[in-house]
Amino acid sequence: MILEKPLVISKATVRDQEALHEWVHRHYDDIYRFLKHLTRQQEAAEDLAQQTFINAYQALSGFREESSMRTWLHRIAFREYIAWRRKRRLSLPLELLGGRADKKFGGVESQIDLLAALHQLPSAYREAFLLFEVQQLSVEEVATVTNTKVGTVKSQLHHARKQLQKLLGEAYLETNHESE
Amino acid sequence: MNLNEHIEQMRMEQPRTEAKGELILKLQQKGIEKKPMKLITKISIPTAVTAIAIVGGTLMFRPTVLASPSSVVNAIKEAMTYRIKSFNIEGNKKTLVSETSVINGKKSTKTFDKNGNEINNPVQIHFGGIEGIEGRFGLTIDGTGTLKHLPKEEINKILVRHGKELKDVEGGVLVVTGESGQVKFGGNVKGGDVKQGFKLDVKGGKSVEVKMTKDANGKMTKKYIVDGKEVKELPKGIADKIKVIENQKFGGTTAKGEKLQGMSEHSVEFFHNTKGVKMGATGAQIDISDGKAGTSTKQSIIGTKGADGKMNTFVSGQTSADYLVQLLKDADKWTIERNVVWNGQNLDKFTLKGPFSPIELYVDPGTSLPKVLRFKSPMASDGVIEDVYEYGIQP
Repeated sequence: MILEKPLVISKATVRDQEALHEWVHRHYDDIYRFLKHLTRQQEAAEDLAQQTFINAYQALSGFREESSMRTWLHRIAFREYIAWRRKRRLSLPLELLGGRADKKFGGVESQIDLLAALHQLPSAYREAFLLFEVQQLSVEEVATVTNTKVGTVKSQLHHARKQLQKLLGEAYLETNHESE
Repeated sequence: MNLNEHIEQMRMEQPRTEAKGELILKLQQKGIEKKPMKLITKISIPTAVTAIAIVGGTLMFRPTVLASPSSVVNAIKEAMTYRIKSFNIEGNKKTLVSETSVINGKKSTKTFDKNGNEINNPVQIHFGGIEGIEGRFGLTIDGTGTLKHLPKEEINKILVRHGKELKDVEGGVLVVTGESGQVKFGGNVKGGDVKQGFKLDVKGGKSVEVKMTKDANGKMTKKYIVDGKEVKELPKGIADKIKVIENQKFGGTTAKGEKLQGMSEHSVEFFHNTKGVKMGATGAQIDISDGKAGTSTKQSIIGTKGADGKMNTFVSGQTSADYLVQLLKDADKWTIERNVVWNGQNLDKFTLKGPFSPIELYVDPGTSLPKVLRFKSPMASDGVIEDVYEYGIQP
């Protein structure tokens, strides 16, 4: 499903204020969700999401529509996250690791388990997985956001799945998405 | 739960309700001036679940900036599809009076009698009132076009306009005065002198007075006085806005200084048809039908001057939402109380003193959409009308 709608962003008029509302309401949840899964911290995700929109707002004149607004915002959010990660030297808090799924029940027990497993993967695998599986970007869009080649993204997704399979068990095989 | 379901769950994760509002405020406060630019946004939404989540999210988490009269007006306009259930409350009795469905902006209204049966020829309620007259609010018009529930003193101040659509509520001011407190023309002049006339204030600040006088031969002549100066003909730019109708019958006296505001056209041709006034009794009636038996006007605009000098304009066939939008345009008149609990919901309470005073409007602070509108009933002085707004209805 593709929605296309012209959006006029400016601060000059009430009408533009409405466009600003629409812009934020249309994209914020998506960007926040992406950052929340990357950082696993609500506060950090909110701060980064806010900074993403501020940066995007300031850079709107430079937006050349080469990608969709959604992909563009993901790209800015991803840059914000990388900068944040560098600063924080992100490490996985032990309390968020949670218990591993018992294989005899045939699946993961909670979302935390999946997130915890994701955060045991190399960051590039995790980011590709989140962008592709959760954010539902195409492989090409993932490549744009992470500034890598399409082939690399496919490879990252492949490795991410294999490693998740090891960590979480056969339940992982139930995913439907195929990128290769 | 398998992994797909976990991923789906991750996709549904929502931020705090206030987060978007905070961000919008921050962006607004940044004061970053941008030239208007057109952006084509494309959203790829592969699953219906995500689409529903986004649409639902948009509806649920609309502006978290503070609701204001203007944001409520915008929200009503944007809503396009909603239902208003209008209840009449008297004591402990709550009766469904009407149900107005607006589907993609198209309105239809069902009206019900006391037993809940739909009425084919319904009473129309005019959403307006007489400023400062406690307990004597509003007008109703039944199927034959009869105004009710007004004392004669108020009926005598009423102007009626037929068949005109209120296209643009902003605009000129029409002032009608009778020099002796009466407006009589032509055949309606009941003897005596001819010191009568009327005055128009048209858009642009021009004041136009039309005087009818008898000449030496006893023939009626018409004089125009524009901004205090007598002229032979109405100046260009005014003449096309004014149509002087003579020989109109007026059923009663017409008060001085009545103003009709917000008319899209400047014309006095509406100023008629107050015939049939039954004088002397509270609840007197004015027949506003177009004079043909069995017919009634589809739309009338009726106005009286309010205590503040402004005109209260009544438009038949309005939904209360239409009327509400008009009232909300006087943004400064509303007082707003935040975080008021109404039926277990935290809402913003807007209050307006005026027609049907006080009008209470409960607004969802997140979306600026009206939830409940309450005002004094035009049907009964101790009654209350409660309009309950429902959104997300199916056509």
